[in-house]
Amino acid sequence: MARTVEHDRLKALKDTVSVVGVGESDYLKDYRAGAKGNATEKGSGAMNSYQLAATALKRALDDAGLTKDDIDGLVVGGPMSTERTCEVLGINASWCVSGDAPRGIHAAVQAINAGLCHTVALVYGNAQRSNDTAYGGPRASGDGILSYVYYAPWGMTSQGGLYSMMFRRHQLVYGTTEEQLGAVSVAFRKHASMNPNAVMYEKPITIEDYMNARYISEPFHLFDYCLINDGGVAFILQRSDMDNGKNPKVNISGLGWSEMDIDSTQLRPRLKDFYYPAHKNVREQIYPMSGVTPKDVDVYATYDSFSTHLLFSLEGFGFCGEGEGGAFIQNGRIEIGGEIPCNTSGGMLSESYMQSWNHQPELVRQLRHAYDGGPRQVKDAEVAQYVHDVAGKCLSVVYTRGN
Amino acid sequence: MATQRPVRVMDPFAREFWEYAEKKELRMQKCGECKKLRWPAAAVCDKCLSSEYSWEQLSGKGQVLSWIVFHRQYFPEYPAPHPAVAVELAEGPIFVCCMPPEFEGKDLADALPMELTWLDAEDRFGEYNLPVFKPAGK
Repeated sequence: MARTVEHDRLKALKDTVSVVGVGESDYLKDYRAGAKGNATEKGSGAMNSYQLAATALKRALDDAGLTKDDIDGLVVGGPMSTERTCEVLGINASWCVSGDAPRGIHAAVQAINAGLCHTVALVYGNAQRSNDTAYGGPRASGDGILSYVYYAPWGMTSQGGLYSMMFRRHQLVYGTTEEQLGAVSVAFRKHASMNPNAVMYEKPITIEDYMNARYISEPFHLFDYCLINDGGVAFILQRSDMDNGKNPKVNISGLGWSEMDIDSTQLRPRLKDFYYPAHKNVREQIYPMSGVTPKDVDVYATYDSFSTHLLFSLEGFGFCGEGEGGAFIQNGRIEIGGEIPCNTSGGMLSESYMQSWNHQPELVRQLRHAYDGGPRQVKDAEVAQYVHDVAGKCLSVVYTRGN
Repeated sequence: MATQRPVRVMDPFAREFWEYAEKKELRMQKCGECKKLRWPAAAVCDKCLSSEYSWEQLSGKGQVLSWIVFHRQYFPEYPAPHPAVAVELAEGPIFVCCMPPEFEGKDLADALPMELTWLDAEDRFGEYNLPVFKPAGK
């Protein structure tokens, strides 16, 4: 595999860019907008993606103490087009790309350092519940990911099905149990129960609830799956020396990226490797760049369309050994107050399924100590890591609290 | 009329695969230069980018790598519960498929030997034979 990473050049980007503003839509309020406070009906057309993104952007700008005229770069995520997004928001940026949150952060840090722009808004909106977006079955499109649709003639479908098959393999190789995996869903629900904007606010579950919930694709139970809700997220990245100091400083200190696409449709990276080689490549970039190790990470978030992402990434990044994840995540270790608090907003399983976007504001707020005095704050958090290991790639971002 | 199934992903290379399936031959593209087997069918070898290939007939032998059981129904053609299985073929590639309807998830185990069989099928591209795997000798 061709891998050329010039670590000295990467290291020069450390702390050159700060996160100066964060915002999101009203996940819970929008979710409960159906009749009698029930969940919005799928396919209702109640909201659109650009509306959700605009709400989030306005809040991120207010949070940063900036106006939209300060924005000269844009990253557009989710199902939105760059053209329509820039039209709706009225921004003719000097630089604009599409991407998910971590790819957008990578690109924005590079663009800012290249002098193409200095203040980048990263925006995402997804009215996936209002639009009844399908992630499995006859209407699934899979975002161009062939394994999501290729096996339909055999009845195999859905991202959940693929991740469940990956978990079964982990069970066969390492003896991991469903009950062990349940610790992820229970922890993230507990975190959501502290987050008044989480879709699953005040709805904690026990391990018994987890085990008793129906199977969707066995061995996955209902609570191994993320939510389907409408929402928008935005955050503002700015050249570090321009930060106006309105908020406690949060820098981007580490970046890493490794594709792992070869034989992905036949599921080899999942079923034979659990994406570990991609995790290892990324950790060889971000930890030296940021000058931290897993032991220094105070708060951690992983892409969690399914519970298993946490298990595999903690192993791959060296928080525990390969195959040890099932035992490692027990006894509150991944909960706030534990050794490595994970997905402290509730993540995509229990806060909002924002496809990598909702994790970023949460990590920033944890490093700002925005929840000080409350149970949600990870005490004295200085280092945060986001890991994104999904569908043929792994990316990671390390944030640190600045001076 | 053959059993209706969710539609296949069709392209010029997939079409060649399904044409061999009409003769109940499970074949995959073998690179004409570096000899790597690839699946699903593609225009070039992912190892050396050669466009030269032949369709290598496979032994139809393999073993279980993983499986799941769908309890939620996604397709009208596949009422729940129904299993899906990943078979590591003797030749190397991993083949994801279903089993004949008389087999269940509980019939499977790690590394269980599996063998090729065929089911009838039809979609908007026409009638065809669907290659699937079942526990060997069962």
